[in-house]
Amino acid sequence: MAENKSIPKVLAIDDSELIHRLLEARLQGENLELHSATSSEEGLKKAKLLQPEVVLLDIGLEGMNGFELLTKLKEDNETQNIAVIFISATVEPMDRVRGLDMGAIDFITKPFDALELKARVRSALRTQYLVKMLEQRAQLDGLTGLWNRRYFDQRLEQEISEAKRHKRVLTLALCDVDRFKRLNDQFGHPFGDMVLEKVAQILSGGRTSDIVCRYGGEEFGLIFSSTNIERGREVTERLRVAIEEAAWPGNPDLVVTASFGVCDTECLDGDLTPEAMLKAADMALYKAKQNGRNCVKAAVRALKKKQDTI
Amino acid sequence: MNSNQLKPTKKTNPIFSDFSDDDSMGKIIQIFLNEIPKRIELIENSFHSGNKEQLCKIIHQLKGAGGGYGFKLITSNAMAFEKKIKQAEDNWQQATTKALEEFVDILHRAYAGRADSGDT
Repeated sequence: MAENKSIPKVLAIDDSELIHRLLEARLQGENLELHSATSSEEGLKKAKLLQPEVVLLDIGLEGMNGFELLTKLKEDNETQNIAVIFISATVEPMDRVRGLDMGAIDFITKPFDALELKARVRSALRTQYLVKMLEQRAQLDGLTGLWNRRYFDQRLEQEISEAKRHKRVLTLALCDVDRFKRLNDQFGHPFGDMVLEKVAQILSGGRTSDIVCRYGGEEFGLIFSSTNIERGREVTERLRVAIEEAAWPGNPDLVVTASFGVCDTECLDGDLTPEAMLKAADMALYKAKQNGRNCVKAAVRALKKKQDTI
Repeated sequence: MNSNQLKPTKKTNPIFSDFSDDDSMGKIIQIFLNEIPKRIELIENSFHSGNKEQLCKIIHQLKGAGGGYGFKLITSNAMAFEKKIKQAEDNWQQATTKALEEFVDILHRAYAGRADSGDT
């Protein structure tokens, strides 16, 4: 799972062009991408769109002032984790206290010293990087390096919400390593761990847009955005074959297999929820197991057919 | 510029940016200086038309930016001017005329120090 090493974004929101030019000159050469907004409304829009790591925010903006804009940023799930540094010609201690209490992380007084400005922005970016890294680590599975169940649950909910909003199709697959307990018993737990690592590696070697998670034990969840069930079946079938064909050091004759259950948003009747999708994919997986394992089953269609026939 | 424009009140004694030797600042300092006549005009128009809100906004912006462009005098004079405007009540224009003159004079001096001014 690659950590985010893209160039961090800084958004400056100030109604003075003089300040934007100055920031551009002073932050030139720093490892960051500087964006600007000259009104609070434009700033709010750009903060949502660009998702900058840091916002440099003027207090004395016309209309919605800096404090009000900070409140808006903190209220919105999409922008609440952006680090906000106030930049202001105001030197009133109570303004600083108010800003910091409201969630700003720092305060720079205008006119600013170039070295201090750079140091404070770097410090904010460093903190943001570490916070993001910790957040990401907390969502990774320690053994396989895949996203963990916590992340999977959040992401599935988010993807379903996006699919509904944009009327997009979404495919969910569950994968379970066949007879995993037997593998563990026969070859020992270290080998079992190696199997899980290898399967994780194969599953995450698919399309870059696919979201692969360790769902629990020997079970994995795969979310395929903007993908219908036919395409989802093709992808999972390729993964199934890759697992079946994998070589196992020290056990050249061993064949490890996995079963897959697939469903998509198009085929579900009733409310489209994470629970409904998981249930449908799980039923499909169950059918794959019933069918002799080492196969892909699309339970969603079966589910709909079953419901249609009731 | 309109007829109300204040002329420099004394023989123009140029002031220069503290960052004149900073290559990364040269271009934007020139832009800042070239825009000074426009800002003086705005300040004077706002002052004479009694538009206190607009005047305060321009002064506040120059207070925040002046020092950043290497003109600490612009920041300190803007600060003093802004304070006087805020303290003054009904007769604010009369009470701040001197502060306006001093501030505009500082701006003229900064403008006189620009690279293409002809001053040596």
